[in-house]
Amino acid sequence: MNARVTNGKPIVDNFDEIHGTSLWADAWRRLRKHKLAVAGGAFLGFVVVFCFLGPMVVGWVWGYTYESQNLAYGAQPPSFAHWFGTDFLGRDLMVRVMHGGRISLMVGVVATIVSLFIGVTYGAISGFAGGVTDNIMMRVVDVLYTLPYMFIVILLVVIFGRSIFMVFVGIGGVLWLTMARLVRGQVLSLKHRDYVEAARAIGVPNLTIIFRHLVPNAMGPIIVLSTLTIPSVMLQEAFLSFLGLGVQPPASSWGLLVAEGAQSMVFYPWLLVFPAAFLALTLLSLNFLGDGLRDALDPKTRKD
Amino acid sequence: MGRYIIRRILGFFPTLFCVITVAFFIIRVAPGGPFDRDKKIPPKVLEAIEEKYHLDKPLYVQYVLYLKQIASFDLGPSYKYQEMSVNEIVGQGFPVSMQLGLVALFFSLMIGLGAGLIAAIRRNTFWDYGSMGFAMLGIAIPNFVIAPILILFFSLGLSIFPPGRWESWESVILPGFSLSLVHAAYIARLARAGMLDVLTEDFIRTARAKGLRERLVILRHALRGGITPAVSYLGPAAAAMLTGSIVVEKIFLIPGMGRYFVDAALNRDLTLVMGVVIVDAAVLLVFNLIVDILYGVLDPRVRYD
Amino acid sequence: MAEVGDVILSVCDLRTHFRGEEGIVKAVDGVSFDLRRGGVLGIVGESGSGKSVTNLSILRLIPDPPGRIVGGEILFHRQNLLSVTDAEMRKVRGNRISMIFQDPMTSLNPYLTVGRQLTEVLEEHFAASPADARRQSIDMLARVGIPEPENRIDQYPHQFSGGMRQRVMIAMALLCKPEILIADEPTTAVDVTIQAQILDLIGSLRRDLGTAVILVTHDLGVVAGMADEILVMYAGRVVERGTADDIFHRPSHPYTLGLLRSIPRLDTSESRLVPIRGTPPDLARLDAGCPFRPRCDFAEARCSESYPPTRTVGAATHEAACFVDPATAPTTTPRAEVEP
Ligand SMILES: Nc1ncnc2c1ncn2[C@@H]1O[C@H](COP(=O)(O)OP(=O)(O)O)[C@@H](O)[C@H]1O
Ligand SMILES: [Mg+2]
Repeated sequence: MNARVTNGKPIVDNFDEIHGTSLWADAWRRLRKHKLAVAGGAFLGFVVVFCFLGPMVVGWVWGYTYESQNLAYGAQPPSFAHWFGTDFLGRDLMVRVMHGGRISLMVGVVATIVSLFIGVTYGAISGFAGGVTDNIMMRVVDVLYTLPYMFIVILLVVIFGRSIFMVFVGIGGVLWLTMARLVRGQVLSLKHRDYVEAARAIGVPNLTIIFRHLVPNAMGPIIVLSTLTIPSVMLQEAFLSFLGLGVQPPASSWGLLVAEGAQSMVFYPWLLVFPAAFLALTLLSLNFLGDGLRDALDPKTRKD
Repeated sequence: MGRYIIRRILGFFPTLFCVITVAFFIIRVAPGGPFDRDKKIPPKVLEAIEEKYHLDKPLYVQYVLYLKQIASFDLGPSYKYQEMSVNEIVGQGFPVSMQLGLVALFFSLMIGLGAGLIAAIRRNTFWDYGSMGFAMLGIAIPNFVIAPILILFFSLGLSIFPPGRWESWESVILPGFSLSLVHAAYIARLARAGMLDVLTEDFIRTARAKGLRERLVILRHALRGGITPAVSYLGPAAAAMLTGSIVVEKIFLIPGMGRYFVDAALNRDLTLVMGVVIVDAAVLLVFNLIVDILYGVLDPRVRYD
Repeated sequence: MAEVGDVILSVCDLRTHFRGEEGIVKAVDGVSFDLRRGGVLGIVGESGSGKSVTNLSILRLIPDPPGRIVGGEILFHRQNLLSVTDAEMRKVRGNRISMIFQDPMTSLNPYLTVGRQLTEVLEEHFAASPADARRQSIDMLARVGIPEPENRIDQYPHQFSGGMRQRVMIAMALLCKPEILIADEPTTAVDVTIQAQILDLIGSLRRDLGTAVILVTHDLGVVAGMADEILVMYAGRVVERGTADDIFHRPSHPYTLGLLRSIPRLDTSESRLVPIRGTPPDLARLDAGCPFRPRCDFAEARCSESYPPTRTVGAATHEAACFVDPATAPTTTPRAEVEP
């Protein structure tokens, strides 16, 4: 290595680079040691395969789709032909759980990506600009925070009606507030680092500084918050579906299946148990993964 | 401390004003007027109605008129419930939601702080894993699943509490509990993390080096700093509980604010929506204010800045 | 100077280890020393050499997990503190053995008034009444040089400057008139101008109260004038011990020599300061040999085979753990050629 030794400390030309790579490698190593996070990650992998490839397999083996009904065979408990049982219309619950999962997962990811884009851009610009601009931009965030969340969500439902994806694009447009605050805080603490000052001194454009130098260095907390945003969006979807404002039948989502199942849980418990288990385990997995990532990426806040 | 509180209180009104303004324009800009759906209304009648509610005037005039009205604490007439004013509707629903919310707040504080502190003090023991496991479940299982199970068990099974409605003091227990669970879970996690953070501080080592009993180390030296993260969560959480949960009110058939809100929004009852938004925002701001004051009480550095 | 009496604290072969991600960190590995009534023991060494862990072990304040005292004895008036109950240990802490820490900014509780933090010590150990505790605390604040103690006692730590906070810490430590005061780098975090005042204060209180002091520092100059005996620590072990005279005039371990070369001195004409090359070792990866050898100018083949035995140098009080005597041995690695 091309390092000189003075005062007992090696002087390395590009400290940040070395620091950067070892940080990620370290984080990866710590994440793998976090048993719950690994289990969560594994379960999420399984769920994605189950939901997105499962329906094809079921189609080959049994020949059901999520719409195929068999009224004579309604509300049957789990059996070999229908592993999760059937609903009142005689539809195979397993296929419906798979399809519902697709929508729930996609809704969670879409809203989170939207919130990521807006929040990161807004927060980074606010923190980087500083001064009056920063002040005004954060005041706007404060005011939007104070608008009742449900007000905005229901307003979105009123505006976009049946288009559940637009509703969740909108929800992503509400969730960016937390992301913006987080990114701003990170940028504020990073922007006076030497390498940023140096980049500015040699005339690197501001936007390049923000997205090349500042945002990548704030990646840890951003990833953690995103991982924790997905489950909260999925929960929102479930609530809206429960209220009849979310996914509309015959389309389905875990939230909707759980809501329907909860109404008949005394006599047909499997209608509740399977979708609820998938929803809860997926939310748990995402939360565990988020916790694990936080511990791995920010050793300072590690709790065990 | 006095100056600090006054500064916070002065910040209250501009924010509320901004919220009212933003909400007003969002609602008006959203497609569809309040009476658009009722196609049967003859144009003449529609005109008359719109005039009555100033909907025929330019937007900024409507805005100024609305502000004037608000300034005299009048939330206006409801578009849909023609015989009632928004003040009356809110006056009916809000106290119910408040009571339910206070019970839920109490539960979430007791359960959340209790579990969080025990988990932190007995770290990496059965108590820690147990409380945190339950907290995770509380966060991951939607309360519209938990609530029916509670009803099944406590009302239909054991007949201890009524399954719903708003009649006696017992009828508030189950919904209050359901409403509190998710918040209790977050409070427990935050309290645990906060305590563990504080317990690594140098001043805790000092307290131990002085020979203090562990009880004093925890209660006198660690507690204030440790619950700070939970306290900051408490502002929005308390507001959310007190302004009514749509889901819980629906499951337990409780005539609170949450239900009106959904109906109002779906019916485009704009004045009622605005009324609910204003009340909710005000409650949230009040609780944020309370949290700020609590910060000052807990931390002298905030008080004396 | 106060009379130095019999041994009151005797640390024998103390071993404190931490379980880390890379394995067991032997932060303290076989440290022994005696402290006499009214005496001053200086402990020096680079940061990470195990000074704080040694002292925290004496008060059993090592956070477990990850740390644990795995061996040795700490005899306080012949009683092994490692085998007393937690309740008995609490009666020793802050009462008979007190400790002040490096960073006065973080060592006081920001949420409580200074008065609360002082009086609770007296209430805990002597069941003092609030009024009594307050009066004594004010007296002690005055004694450590805090002006207007009647007013300052009701203030919070953030209203004090760094030097003043360290004085508060000292007052807190001395309230119960302890037999031993452990001062862990009491001047490292305060302004240079305040450092001498703090040390003077500790010195004069020691004389007045007859308290024995363990003074930890990574700065040899600080202990030179105060300590009866000095321990030089490296990688969790004592590498050299002796009187201030022994250490300064006849350093017998290459590490001590390196430390001396790296601080400015008034008593020699040599003005060049030479830092010790290399970095401190990773305590999780120590082998059987001398941990200093990669940085040592005198290292030989046998240094990597076994840990050097302790050798008495001149006076019986002066010992060093090294195969060679740097005063006579030739350097094996000429400094100029050192380039990794
Ligand atoms: N709480 C801890 N957890 C893990 N390792 C620790 C802890 N405290 C100290 N150590 C280890 O003990 C070594 C010695 O630390 P310390 O006694 O604080 O050094 P110093 O001589 O600077 O006071 C450190 O290098 C560190 O590896
Ligand atoms: Mg130290």
